[in-house]
Amino acid sequence: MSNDHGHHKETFISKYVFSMDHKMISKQFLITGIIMGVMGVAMSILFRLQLAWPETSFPILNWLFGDQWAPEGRLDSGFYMGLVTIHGTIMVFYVLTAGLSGTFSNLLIPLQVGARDMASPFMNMLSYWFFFLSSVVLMSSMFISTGPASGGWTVYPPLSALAKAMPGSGLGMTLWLIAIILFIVSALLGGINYITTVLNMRTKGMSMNRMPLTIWAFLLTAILGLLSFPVLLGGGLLLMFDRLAGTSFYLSDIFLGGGVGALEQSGGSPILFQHLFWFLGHPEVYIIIMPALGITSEVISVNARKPIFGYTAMVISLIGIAVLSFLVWGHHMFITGMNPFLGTVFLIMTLIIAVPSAVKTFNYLATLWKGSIRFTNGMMFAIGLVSFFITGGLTGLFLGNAALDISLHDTYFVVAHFHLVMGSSAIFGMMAGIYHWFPRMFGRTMNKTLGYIHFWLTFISAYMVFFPMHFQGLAGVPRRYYTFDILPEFAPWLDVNVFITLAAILGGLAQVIFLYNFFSSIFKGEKSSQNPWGANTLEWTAPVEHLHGNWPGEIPTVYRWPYDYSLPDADSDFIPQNVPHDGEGEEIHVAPVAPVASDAKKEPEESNTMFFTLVKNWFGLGRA
Amino acid sequence: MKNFSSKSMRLHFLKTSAFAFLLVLTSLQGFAALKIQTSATGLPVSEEVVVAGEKLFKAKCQSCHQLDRRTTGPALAGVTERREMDWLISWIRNNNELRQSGDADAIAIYNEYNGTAMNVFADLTDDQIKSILIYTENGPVAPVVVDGGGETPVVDEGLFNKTNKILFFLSLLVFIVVVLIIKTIDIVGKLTGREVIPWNNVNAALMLIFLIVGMIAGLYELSIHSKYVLLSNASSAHGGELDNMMKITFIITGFVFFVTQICLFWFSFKYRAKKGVKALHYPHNDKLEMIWTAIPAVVLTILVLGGLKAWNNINEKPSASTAQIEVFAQQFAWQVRYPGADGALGNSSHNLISEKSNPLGIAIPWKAKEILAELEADLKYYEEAKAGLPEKLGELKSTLGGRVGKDLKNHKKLIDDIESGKEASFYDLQIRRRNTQIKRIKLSLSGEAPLYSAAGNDDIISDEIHLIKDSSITFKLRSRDVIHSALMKEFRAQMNVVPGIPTQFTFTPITTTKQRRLDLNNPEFDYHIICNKICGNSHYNMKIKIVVETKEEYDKWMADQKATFAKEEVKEEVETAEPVEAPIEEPTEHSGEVALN
Repeated sequence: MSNDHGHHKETFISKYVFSMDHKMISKQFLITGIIMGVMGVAMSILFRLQLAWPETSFPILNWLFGDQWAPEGRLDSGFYMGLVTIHGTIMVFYVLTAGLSGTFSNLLIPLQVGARDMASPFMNMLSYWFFFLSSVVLMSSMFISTGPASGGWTVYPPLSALAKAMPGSGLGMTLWLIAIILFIVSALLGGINYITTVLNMRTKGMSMNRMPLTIWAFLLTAILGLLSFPVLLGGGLLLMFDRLAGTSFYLSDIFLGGGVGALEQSGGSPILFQHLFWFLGHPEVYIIIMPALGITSEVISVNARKPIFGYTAMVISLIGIAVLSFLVWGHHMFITGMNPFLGTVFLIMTLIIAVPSAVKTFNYLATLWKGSIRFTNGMMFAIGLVSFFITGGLTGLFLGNAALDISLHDTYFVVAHFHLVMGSSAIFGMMAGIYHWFPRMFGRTMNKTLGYIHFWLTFISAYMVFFPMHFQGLAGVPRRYYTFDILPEFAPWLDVNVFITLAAILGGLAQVIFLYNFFSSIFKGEKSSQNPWGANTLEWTAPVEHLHGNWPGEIPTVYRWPYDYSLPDADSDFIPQNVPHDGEGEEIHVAPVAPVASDAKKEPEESNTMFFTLVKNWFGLGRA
Repeated sequence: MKNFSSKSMRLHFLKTSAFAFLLVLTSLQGFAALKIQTSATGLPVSEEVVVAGEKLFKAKCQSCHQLDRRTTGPALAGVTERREMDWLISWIRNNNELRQSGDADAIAIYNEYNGTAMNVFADLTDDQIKSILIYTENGPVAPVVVDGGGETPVVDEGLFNKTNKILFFLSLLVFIVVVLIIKTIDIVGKLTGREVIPWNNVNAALMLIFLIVGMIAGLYELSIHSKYVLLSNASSAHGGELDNMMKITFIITGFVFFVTQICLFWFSFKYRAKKGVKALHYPHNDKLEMIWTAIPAVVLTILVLGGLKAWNNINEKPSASTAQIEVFAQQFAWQVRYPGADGALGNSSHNLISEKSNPLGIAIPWKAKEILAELEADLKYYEEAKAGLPEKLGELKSTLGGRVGKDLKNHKKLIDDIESGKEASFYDLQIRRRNTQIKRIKLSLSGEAPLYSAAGNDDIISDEIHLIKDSSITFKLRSRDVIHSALMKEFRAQMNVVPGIPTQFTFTPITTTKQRRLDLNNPEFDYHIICNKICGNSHYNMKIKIVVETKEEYDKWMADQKATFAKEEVKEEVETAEPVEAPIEEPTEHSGEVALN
């Protein structure tokens, strides 16, 4: 039964367009994500021009956006907000959710757990095409006469509910909602698939405690998404009703200027939307960062030639983050006037979630300690991720503290915080993944020299962009401002804004190097060997060629966990998961006395695997 | 002499080069006090008039207009040359009415600015409007420049001057050269079959260099920017506690930041792959992991406890003696309402808001009747407008010929809106809204809902907030339209302003504006509320001044304030209104404690 998948007659359309093969779908997600990312980053540079040089006329803006949105070469204030909104939406949902999770869950789940494909390849295909459709709808809102949605990516009503409140709340907002609804459908179709595949389709020997941390991260991410996205779907639909059908879920006691007058709606609550939004919105940031952390765990372990330190702790902290992430959404709403007691609850939960995050960081450091670090491109981005995760994570302790949030809420401190901890971190996780698994996707390696240049420019410019923003925020400079003429005490920050914008342009240019490297390496990159990084996981045992069903013969059986690097008595510094212990295969001989933690039969004796015995029995999934 | 008019700045550029930017600064350091002698308004020009106009401009117009450039609305310099004076006055006073009357220019402006409607300023007198217009003609009254050399106009090409352009191209060139060199070495390496650049060691060293340079750069930035950071000198009683909390968090996070970042980059450098050195197989150490789970847990507990204490102190229920004022937010302005002599704020309702006559919707019966009449007139207008649509369509179609370009496009859009029924359905919606509003007001007047009280009669509405030093104050926050947020950074205070849900913030100012000016050595300084929740196109320009002063100064200011609706009629009406008098407690509002969302 092994290879009959390969005999389908494949046309161009079935192979490259409406493909049901998870590897092809992952490439589709990646390339769409990259295209969206290019637009998102370009938008950020364009609106940063306005912040740095508010008085300057930029012919390029006029050339791009025309007289309506950039008269005299300066962005219209509404369109500035539109760019900010679409930038946020693109980066959060389209790049870092679909582009990151969609790409690597699709690529790695079947390959690393040893499955021929996803549980439902058809749903997988639908997931991509809903995502694609959603991207098209979102981008189309840039081309309508009232402009794109412009109330910020959090689209708080009443601003977003009332078409007359600002031009961007017209058709642009309707399109935004349609795009997000399509996006959620895509995320749900994907998520169900990922969970099913991980739970049901692992190969022989791949028990839960032998899964690479990437798979754990993807699994928990999918569960988070499945539980939280429907809430935003509901919230978004209600907002749609308020906009189009005259309901009053979020509207009450409103008098709108400009000749509109008092509205009929009464009894609704704008804060309800914030609750629904952040019930997704907060888990969403973990949906973004967890796959990046999973990728980092794998990449760091492979390239430090060391087992990941504290596998069990890593899994437990992932689970801890996943559970707690549902209990902290209120920290986005400390100053909405909600009951102060509720504020105390969210304060406590928010600071507790820092503990598992801290454990993960320390474990990364311990993995590097006494390693034999090879600075591959992927490894460098993984190290960059850890650095950003520390810097951005620590500022979370300010914002999660309700009392401090009173001064810091919606200032540049927040912008700095989340751009480091989930923006830059997740982008670096994605880059680490791209460089690391590029050989697996395309059979070639990316040019490492260009990769190094890309890394250093991006790393330095990201810090140059986001680090000064902490100071701006601490001085009370509000975010989402078109200019800062309002108060004279903001004047000193103009220089800083110039500095940040120049750094952002540098960072943008660095991505051009990446784009060149990526697309040219697909066709002209150096041919990669079967297992270029010397990694243990199963994906490197599958042939490089595009092969429906992944392995030509039997799916390999798993005999060990994925982190047998630099075993003291082994000849090689890595032992792939499909290599048996007792020397059945003649590849590696492991001395029987070696105190190795990976022998399945010895595991129950170790205290830290008790958890897995539990999980195994709970799911009834032990397969060893 | 440098002409203020900004037409010269409408420069047109070739699009051929994306790099050919040019900065035009219209920095308006005037040389003489007045630049114009006569005004299109017909009023005599004097410094006082210009100053009065400037003050009004800053209070009413600046949130959407600048003199020299387009922001949310058009640039206003030279507007008196572009428009008729009568038209300007009626437009400024009530642009909605002008638009409703079918004025083609008014509709064209509305369309040009993507359907953003201008606020109504019904309370401005003709003379006030004219003073604003004189200000737009003259520009700010600049102090006479004392230093010599005032005659040489400063031409600052700014960012895109020659030097910078050259620098930019040079650095680009250097970068390209570096890339090419690296690329060449790479190719040489490939051809000779050995690595020319020991990349692993280079990158490891760069990691270390990044750590050192990054830390130095970070500390350098700290040294230059820390003086702007709001970490001390809070102007409110609770601010000191917050600042301490912030400092403690800084110390803890700063320590962790340094230790972990140093470990990360030092390990990266130290444990780079070396020939013959194998990594240590060290998969876990339960004790170590317990330790570094426990330490963050303990530290976080400390932070949680501190945070809870500060948070609960700030949110303590205000005492009964705490004064209350209402801060009212709308797109894009703040207003404040003082309770007047009776010490109680009158009730209000969004149904009673009229941009013309009752901007805050204070519930006063005679006012409500006035608004009813306004609404009836409005209703009649919409009904007539709807009935007149077929006629209007015919007229529009007959005048279609001969139009070109943008004019034709706008004209076609007008026709299209009528033909598609869009216009009619808009009128239907407005008719329905007005009817609902009329019904609600009538219901409230019938006494079924206890809305009206005498408390509102002496309420004072102001464009400036005055507070007494060392006396606690509760800001009752109310929004007219969308969510705003009142950020008062010096007081370490912020609270969202949510339509339909009353919110509040209580604090005690402890530093007067005067004292703060001395502390900062900045005689221009003022406290402000600025808006900190995106609320529309002019969100970035929404502020109101706060003056903190002594009790005496406050009393003096208060004595000058007049109750907004203190008219003869009030007294008569109050008598008749008395029977309906309701408890002072506002039925529509509940304290922040109860507003559990």
